[in-house]
Amino acid sequence: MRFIKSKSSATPKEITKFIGFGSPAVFRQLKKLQNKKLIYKTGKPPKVFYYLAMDKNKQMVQNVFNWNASPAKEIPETREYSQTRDVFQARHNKLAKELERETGNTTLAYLLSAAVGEIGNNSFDHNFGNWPDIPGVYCEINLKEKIICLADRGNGVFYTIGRVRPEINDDVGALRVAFTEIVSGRPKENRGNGLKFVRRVIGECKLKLKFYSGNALCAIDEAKIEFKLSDTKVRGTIAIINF
Amino acid sequence: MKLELKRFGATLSSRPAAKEAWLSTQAYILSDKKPNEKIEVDFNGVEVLTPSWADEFISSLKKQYPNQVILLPSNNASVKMSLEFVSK
Repeated sequence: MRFIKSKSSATPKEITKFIGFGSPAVFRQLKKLQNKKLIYKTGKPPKVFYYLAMDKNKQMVQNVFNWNASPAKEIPETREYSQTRDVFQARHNKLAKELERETGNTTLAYLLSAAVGEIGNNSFDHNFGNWPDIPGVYCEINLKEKIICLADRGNGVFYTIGRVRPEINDDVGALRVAFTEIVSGRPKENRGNGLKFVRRVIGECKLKLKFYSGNALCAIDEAKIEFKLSDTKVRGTIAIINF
Repeated sequence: MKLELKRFGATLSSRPAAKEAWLSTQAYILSDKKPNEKIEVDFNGVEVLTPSWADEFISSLKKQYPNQVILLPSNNASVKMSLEFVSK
């Protein structure tokens, strides 16, 4: 397991070579570790990778990044994925009640639900009819772990903001404008409050948000907001809320 | 006249939904409005309101009926915050 951890992931061949035992013995041990949920594997032969099992929180974050980065062009069939706004809307309509039940905090439930609605609907508003590949929103919610992940594979904030603010020349600048200035990505329409509203909700409810677009990250921890380059480049947007 | 927003659902979040609500309100509710009659917008029963929905619906209502729209007070945090954003 230390070997897998040191490499983040490892193929069966690498593990066998490292341990130095025969393949059947190594595979037996790998199976045992999988049954104990200490490791998990992805892919199909000949491309199989073993990973250390992560806590659910990290796993969800990994899932959303995987979905965002996946080269697959097919429409996914997971329950977290909403191809159209009405599907997202139907799922979102249940969120406030579920949050209220789980947290017992009506203010948090209603405000957080509104913020999630703004982020999810933004994806549809700014990419409708113009999705680069897979349309829709990925939204995974774990009320026990208190985490909500949203993602789209749209054009991203820089593309949208750059159309109305041509002087903005990178992802970080675009995110800064989107979270701090009232400017609509859809010219001739009176819009542009969505992410400012999200920021206010995160601050007032003392939550945490990480919002990625392109190679930029906006991290909000209660009232503190920070814009920086992220380690990963994402398509469209990814939002991770911890509450 | 009183305009109860809960008729459109407890979660009011997207712009297209607000547009639809606005068209329906004009056709079926505001058609009975007397000239100079005030419109009281009632948020009772609304759990989630976003600035997008509020902007699309409330702003259209205020534009169509200047000085005739009264927003009734609400204790709901998302209603209060969204209305604050729209009025900016």
